[in-house]
Amino acid sequence: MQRIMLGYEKPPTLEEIKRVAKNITNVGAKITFVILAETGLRPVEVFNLTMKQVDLSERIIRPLHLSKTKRAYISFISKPMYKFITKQYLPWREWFLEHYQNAVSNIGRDAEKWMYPNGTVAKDPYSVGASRSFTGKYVVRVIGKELDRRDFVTAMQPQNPYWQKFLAKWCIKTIDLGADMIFLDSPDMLFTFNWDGDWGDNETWEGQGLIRHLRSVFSNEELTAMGINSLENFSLAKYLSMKYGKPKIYTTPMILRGAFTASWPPESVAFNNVTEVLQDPILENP
Amino acid sequence: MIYWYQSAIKFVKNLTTTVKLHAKSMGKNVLITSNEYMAWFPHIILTPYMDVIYVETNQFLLPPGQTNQVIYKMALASGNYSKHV
Repeated sequence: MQRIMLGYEKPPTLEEIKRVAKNITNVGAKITFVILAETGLRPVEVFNLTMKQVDLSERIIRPLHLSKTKRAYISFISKPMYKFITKQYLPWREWFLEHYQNAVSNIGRDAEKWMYPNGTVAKDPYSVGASRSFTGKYVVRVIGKELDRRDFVTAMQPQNPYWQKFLAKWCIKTIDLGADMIFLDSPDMLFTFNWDGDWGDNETWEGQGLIRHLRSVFSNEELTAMGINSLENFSLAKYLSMKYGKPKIYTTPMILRGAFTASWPPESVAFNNVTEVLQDPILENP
Repeated sequence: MIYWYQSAIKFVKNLTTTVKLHAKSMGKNVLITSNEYMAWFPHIILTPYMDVIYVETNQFLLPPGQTNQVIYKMALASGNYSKHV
């Protein structure tokens, strides 16, 4: 700035800035550059920005920066930038988080070990991979009764990145061994539904996926109106129980192989007023 | 509901893409297949990622109102009518 004021260097023109922005292809890099150019925020402020500080409804950025030399409270988002954020950046961010959040959090760790979303190493793939019932039991189907033994089929969470990698690895191994066809048995979650799964809370991959989805569908105001102050520890089961009364649970708990608490026949959840529950914005809104 | 179906679609899409790419890198063409129970919505939306769909007509009761089981299942199993069933 000082060199510009002394006449040693020229500041870039608006046209030059626009040309640079247009030529940046990476969406993350582009939004960083545009925010720097449009808002006057310092690079460190932009890199430390979180979505909590961005109020899209008011088109305001709150850097919450307070130092001896600068008291930066708010910056404004122009209409074109708002359009870029909502149409391009937010979908890209969703994609980016999905692909890289887990990879980044796993740097330096044993990538072969399956982990929970919070980074805790799971004791086995089932404990972190199996879908959960309303009361947190593993969603399985017990088979082999006729043979007088207890085998089980587990309904896995498709949101779990380890499960996807694991399956891809074994598919690739079978191709390397000469397979010409891969048969995926029920990849459609039909059994997860039929066996009363998909209720995992924020500690599970399926719960984290639901939280991400809710963030993309509802605004903060809508969530507050629904009685959700924070999505961080959101659990659909707890939310519905608190809002519509504790449901009756019909379940036959059993411990499989000395490790997994499951229910067979599948656990059933009976709310007092099912129609009312089904009309909740979360269940009604896609 | 859409969220849960999206999760399944993403899973199948990513998995089949990875597998197909690997097969292609080896100069092979691998067929991806799945089974079709009752031509239900989530099955139909997975058909674009499958090369072959198997129709299992004996597994579940049909959705209500359907009288011609075989025709109903085979027609819907083809999804966008591009698959042979």
